[in-house]
Amino acid sequence: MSALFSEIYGCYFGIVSRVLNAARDGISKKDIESIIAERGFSETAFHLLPGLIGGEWSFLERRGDLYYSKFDGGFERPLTRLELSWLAALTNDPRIGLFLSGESLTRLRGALKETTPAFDAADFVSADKRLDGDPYGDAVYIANFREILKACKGGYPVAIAYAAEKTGVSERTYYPFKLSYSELDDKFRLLCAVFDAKAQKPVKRTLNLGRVISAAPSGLNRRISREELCRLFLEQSANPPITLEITNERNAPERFFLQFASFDRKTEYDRVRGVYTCQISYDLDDEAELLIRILSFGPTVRVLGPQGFLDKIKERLIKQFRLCGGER
Amino acid sequence: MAEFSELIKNFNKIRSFMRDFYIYGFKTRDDFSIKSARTYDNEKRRCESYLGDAMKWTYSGGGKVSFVSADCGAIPANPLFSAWKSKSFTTNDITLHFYIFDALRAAVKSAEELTEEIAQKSQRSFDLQTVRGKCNEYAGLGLLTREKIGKKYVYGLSQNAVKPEKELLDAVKFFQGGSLGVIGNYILDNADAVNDLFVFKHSYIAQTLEDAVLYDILTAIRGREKIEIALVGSKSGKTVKPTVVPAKILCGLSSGRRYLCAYIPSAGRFFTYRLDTVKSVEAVGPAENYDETQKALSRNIGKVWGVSFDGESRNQTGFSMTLYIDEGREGYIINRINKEGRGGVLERVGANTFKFTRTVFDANEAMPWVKTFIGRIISFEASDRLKKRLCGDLSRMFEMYGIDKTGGTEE
Repeated sequence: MSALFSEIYGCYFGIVSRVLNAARDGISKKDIESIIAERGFSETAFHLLPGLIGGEWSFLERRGDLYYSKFDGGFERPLTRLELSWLAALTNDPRIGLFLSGESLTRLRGALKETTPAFDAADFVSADKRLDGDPYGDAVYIANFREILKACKGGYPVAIAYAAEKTGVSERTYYPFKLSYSELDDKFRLLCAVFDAKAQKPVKRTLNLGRVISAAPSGLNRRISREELCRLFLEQSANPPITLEITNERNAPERFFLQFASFDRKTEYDRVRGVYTCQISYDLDDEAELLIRILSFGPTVRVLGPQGFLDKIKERLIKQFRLCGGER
Repeated sequence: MAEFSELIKNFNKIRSFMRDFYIYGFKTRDDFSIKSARTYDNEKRRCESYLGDAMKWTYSGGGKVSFVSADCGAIPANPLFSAWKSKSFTTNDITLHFYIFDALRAAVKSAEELTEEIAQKSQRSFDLQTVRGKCNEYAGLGLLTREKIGKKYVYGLSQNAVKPEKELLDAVKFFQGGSLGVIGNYILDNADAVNDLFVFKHSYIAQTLEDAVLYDILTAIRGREKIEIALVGSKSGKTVKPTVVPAKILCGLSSGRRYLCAYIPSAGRFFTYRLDTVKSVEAVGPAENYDETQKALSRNIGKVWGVSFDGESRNQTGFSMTLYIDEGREGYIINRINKEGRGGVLERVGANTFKFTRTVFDANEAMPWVKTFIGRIISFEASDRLKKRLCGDLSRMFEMYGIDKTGGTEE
C-alpha cells in the first residue's frame, strides 16, 4: 500500500473537515453543497451527502433548516510523517534560501532534525539541465527574488532595473503577474506587464530573474488591474496552432506526445494512413524553441502549417541542403 | 450490478488509464486493451470526475475521443493530483477519523477510553480492536503520538513543531511543482491554500502518476536497500521482477521521461528502467557495498548522454559535429551549445566554423539534439551506422518538404 495514497489526504476527508468547521455555527444544505461543488469531484455530492447529512456518520445534527456539528471544536490535521519528510527534503534544496532567511531555515532544520528527508537533491540526475541556471546563493539575486515575490503577492507595481541581452540596461515599472519556473532551464522568469502609454493598454513581458539588477516597489499608481493581468496571461494565444503529422516509427508517437504533453493540444489518429495529426497551441515567445524541438524528431514529425512556421522549417532545411552540397 | 464509485482502492487501477488519456489524447474505447466495455466506461467516468475542465472530448473518424489537455504554463496545480485524492474508505474509517481527533483534543487517552467515549457521543459501538488498530495506524502516519503509561498505551494528537505558514507556505507553493509534488499539494490542501504565485514551464504533469513508485525507490535509496521491481513491458505487457540496487533517478527534462538507474550485481553493470513501466517496488533487504555502487556510478555517469549505458559496443564512443555559426551575429548559438552540450568541447576551427566533440557510451541518444542544428551541420562524425542514419533522415526531410536541387522548394 503506497504511503502517498491514503484517504486522510483525500478529497472527501478534506470536504468533511471543512463542512464540520463551518457547521459549528450552523450550515445550510445549500452551503454544504457549495463546499462540495468547490472542492469535490464532479460526482462527489451524490456519494458524500447521504453519509454526511443522512446521519450514517453521525457528524451533524439538524435543527430547523441548519445542520450543526456534533463536535466541540474545529478540525486541523497535524502534518504526517510523509509531509514532514517532504519538507525536510526541501531544506537541502538550494532554492529554499529564496524563501526562508538563514535564521528561519536553521529553525526549520532544527524542528525537522529527527525526520529523514523523503529525498536528497543528489538522488536526481538531469543530464540535460542547462548549465547557466540562476544563481540561487547570490545575495542580490535573493533580494530581488523576494522583492518581486512580495510584489506578486501584494499585487503592486515594481520598479525593475533590467539588463536585457540585446537592448542593454533599462529601468521601468512592471506589473507582476506570477513567477514562472523551468527546471530544464533552471531559471525563474517574471510574467508581468508594462503599460504602453502610446497604445494606452497593457503589454505582456517576461523577465529573467537572473537579469534583474534591482527591484523595489514602484511609487506609481496602479494602471493595470489584477483582472487585466489575468486576462492578458490566460487568454488563448491568437496565433494559429501548429499542425503536425507524426508517423508510427521509432516510437515517435509516444516520445512526441510525452514531450509535448505540457501544451494545450488536440490529437487525432488516421487509422487508414497510420499517422497521427496533432494541433498544438503555443505562445509566440516559445516559437524558436518549438521549432528546434520539432526538428529533433527528424522525418518522423512533419509540419503541415501554419505557413509562417512551415516556412521557417523549410528555411533551415534549405540551408542544410546547401551545406550538404545540394544532394538528397 | 455493482454501484459505480468515484473513489478507488488501488491507485494502479487508474494510473495507466489516466496516463494514456493525458499523453496520447487520441484513444477511443476500442484502443484500450482492457477487459470490458464497462471497465473503459468506469475508468473514463472517473477521469472525467477527477479532472473536470481539463478533460475534453472531440469526434474523430474513429468515434468520440476523450483527452486531457492542459497548458502547464498557466495552471496553478497539476490537475492529475486529483487522482491521488480518490482513495476509497469505509464508514468506520471516516467516523473514527473525526471522533478520535475530537476525543483527543484536550487529553491523551487509551484505546479503551476512546472506544467508550466515541460510542457515547456517536451512538454507535465500535470494537476495541478496531479503535486500537486505527489509533496505531495514525500513530504510524505521525498523526497521533503513542506512549506507554503503566501497562497501557495512550494516544494523543501530534503537535507539529512545523507550521506551514508565511514564507514556508510560499515555498510549498513553489516546490509542489517539483519532485513528489503531490505531497506538497496535500500540505496546501490542509492549510486551505492554493498556489497563486507560480507556474511551471517544461513541466510533465503525467509524472505524478509515477510518484508512488518513485517514493518507494527513494526510500530504498535512503535506506540503502535492494528492491524487487515489477516491470511491465510497454509492448509485450508481460511482467518481470528483477532484484536491483537503486542508485539514482535519471530525469530527461527535455523528453519528460524519468528512469531508475540501478545496479544489477549478477550482471556487474548498471541498467536504467523507465519509471512509467515500474508497476510496484518492494524492499528486499540491505544492499551490500552500497557506497561502492554509488562510486562506480559516479565514475560512469559523466559518460552518459541521457540515460543509456549501452551504445553500440559498450565502449565509450562519441560523436563530433562541425557547425556553421556566424560569429558576428550568432553568439547566442555558441551560448546555447555551451549550456546544452553536457560537458562536450566546442572549438573554433575556422572562420564561422566550430566543432563540437563529446565522448559518450551511446551517441545515438544525442541524435535528437544534433538534429536541432539542422541548417548548420557542415559535417558529422560518429559510427557509420549513426552517420548513415543522419544522412538518411536529412534526405527524407528534404524530400518531405520538397527541397530541390536549386536549394529552393518544389512548390
